[in-house]
Amino acid sequence: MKKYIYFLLALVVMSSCSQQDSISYEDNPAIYFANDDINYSFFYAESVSSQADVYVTVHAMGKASNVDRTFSLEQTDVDAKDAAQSGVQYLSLSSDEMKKRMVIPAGKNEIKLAITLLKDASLDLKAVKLTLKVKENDNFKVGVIESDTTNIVFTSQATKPANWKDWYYAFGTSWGSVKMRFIIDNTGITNFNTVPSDINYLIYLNDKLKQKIYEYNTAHPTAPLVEADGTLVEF
Amino acid sequence: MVSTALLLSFTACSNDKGNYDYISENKLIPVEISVMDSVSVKANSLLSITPTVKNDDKSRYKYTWYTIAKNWPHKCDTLSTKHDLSLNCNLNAGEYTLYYQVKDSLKNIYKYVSAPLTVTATDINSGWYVMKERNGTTDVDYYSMSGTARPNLFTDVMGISPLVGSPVGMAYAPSCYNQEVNNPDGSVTKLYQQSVFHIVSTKDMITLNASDMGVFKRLSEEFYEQPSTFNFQAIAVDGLSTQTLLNNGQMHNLLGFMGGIGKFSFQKEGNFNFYPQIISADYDDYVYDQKSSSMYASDMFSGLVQCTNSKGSTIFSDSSFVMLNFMPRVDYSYMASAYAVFKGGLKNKYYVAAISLFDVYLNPTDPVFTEIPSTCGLLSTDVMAAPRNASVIYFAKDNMLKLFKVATISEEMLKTFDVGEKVTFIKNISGTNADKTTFNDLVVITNSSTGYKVYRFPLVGSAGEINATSSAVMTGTGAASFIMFRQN
Repeated sequence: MKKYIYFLLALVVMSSCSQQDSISYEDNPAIYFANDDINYSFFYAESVSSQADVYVTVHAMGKASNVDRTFSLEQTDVDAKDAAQSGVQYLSLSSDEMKKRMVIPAGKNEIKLAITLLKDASLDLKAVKLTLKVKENDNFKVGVIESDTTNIVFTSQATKPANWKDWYYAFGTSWGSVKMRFIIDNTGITNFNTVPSDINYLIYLNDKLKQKIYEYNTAHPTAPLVEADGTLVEF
Repeated sequence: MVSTALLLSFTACSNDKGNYDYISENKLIPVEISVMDSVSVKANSLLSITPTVKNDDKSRYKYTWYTIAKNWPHKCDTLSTKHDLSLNCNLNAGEYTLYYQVKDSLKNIYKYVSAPLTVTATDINSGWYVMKERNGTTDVDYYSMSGTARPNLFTDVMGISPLVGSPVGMAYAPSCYNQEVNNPDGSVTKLYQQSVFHIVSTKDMITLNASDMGVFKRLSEEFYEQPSTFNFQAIAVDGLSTQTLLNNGQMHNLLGFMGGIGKFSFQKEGNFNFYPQIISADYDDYVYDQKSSSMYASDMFSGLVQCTNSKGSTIFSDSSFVMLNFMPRVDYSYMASAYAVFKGGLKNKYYVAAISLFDVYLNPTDPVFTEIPSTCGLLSTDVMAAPRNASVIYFAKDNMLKLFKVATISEEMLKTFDVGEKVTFIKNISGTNADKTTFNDLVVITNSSTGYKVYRFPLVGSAGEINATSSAVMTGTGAASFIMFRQN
């Protein structure tokens, strides 16, 4: 008899579990970020636009809805020293444009949300950080706690590529923002993430940059190309 | 304890009187195999070699002919186990090392000799390549080692358009060139360590696969970024596979050692006006800049370096020096050397400069200047050349071939060609003939209204004299002005 009671209990537990699983996401939709932190510099931008969009991925848990669902984000680092200024350095989350963008469309579970960075003059001197956090609203709760925030660090200054030493055959060892601008202007390269495997191509870049800086310095005999601290730009 | 052990071991060594019986190699295996010459053969044709073996014993030794491909993965193929090699060569076109091994199986020891083997997909390989101009375009006539002519390689043999402009030069780059090939399915195959010909005219150039004479690149593909002006002046390949091209007074390199995809680089840094001559040494290429009146060395490690003399200044520091001619004496050597004919502007004097070019230090020793009179024949012609082993300069004016002796500052007539023939090219070329005899010739090209002639005059003695009695060995249509000999 006792054996049958355990069996019945197990049956009840299993059936209750399966019912609750399907109910939980339908009743409690939640969102989280599904992207890595972002670093951006207007320095490497191919256009001269005064703003740029970077994209964060917002993922909605649970079944897709048959209606559009708005969601909310907030900046949590407003009091930090290097915090990005809303409306000055990025398009305010409370602006009509951002409100229009912060929607999970009907039938979808995920969107790439454009965050518009504004090329304010203050970015010429520093890098700022925008920490975004998902915020509960009528449509969504906060989803995965570990992924409820994402960081966007941006500036107008040149940033030294992490793989700079791998570009040695093309650019030499020294690095500076004036040198980076010279490289971009004379080679057209703006993405330094992947170093070409053809060493002769890197040597071609080096030959070209050496010739171009020779021509620049010859044309400016009393003012050769230097970094802000006076270091001569060399390749 | 350790020191005791060390002491014992030293003692053991010092007390070792030796108890070994050394046997000479020749006593162990007395067979002697003569050195093999390099071999070139067309694929699927007869490859026949009869080796010279002293102290041979066919009842005792076993013989093996085998090849190892020079390109990765260095595949090994056994060709024959007979004493003499005679077979239909079914190897793919490419570069190999051919080995001939004689083995004493009883003692399990062997001796071998080896030689470069080139298998080509075409019968155009070893021999003479004559660059010529017709109607403003450049084509190449080929003459095999046995003398068979294949005129007009571009237009008649390969069916492609000739190069635009006049002949400048051609260079053979062995096993150092990479090429990307686009497949029909859109994929790309990269060919490594290919042997190529660079053929250059004043306005055009082409790179050919030396194994099958297929076109690797035409002008539009030769550079990572095309120069704004095409005015080609010289091409050379040094001992480290650096391919150097002079264009419009500037230098472009292709570092064969560095892999890549066979494209020339941007011009070297500076505002030069290089004299249209490259002296190739084992590790460097030397050029003369007419703007700075100084010599530059280019190598794959240091780039382009201005040469200095023993006092640290540029060797032709007198900026009034005007280079009238610059020619190699010894090239493709660790210690290259050159002659130059100069006008010393300030003093209005003329000189022949003997220049030694040392590779490693990039420092030519101080040139030795010999003043020559303003009436010297060297000053009235651009056609001249120097031999490797004599202090003389050959030069030509119209149909006269002459010799200038630097030591005595004297001239002598070597040969007068028929009226109407004009000498356009002279070069001292050495190598091995089809019958395996070696040659060291002064090769002379003349042009006339009926076409060109190529003469080969053997050098005799050690003072640059030639035997100028032979008649033309190659003749063709068009105006020829450059010849290259390819041994293999």
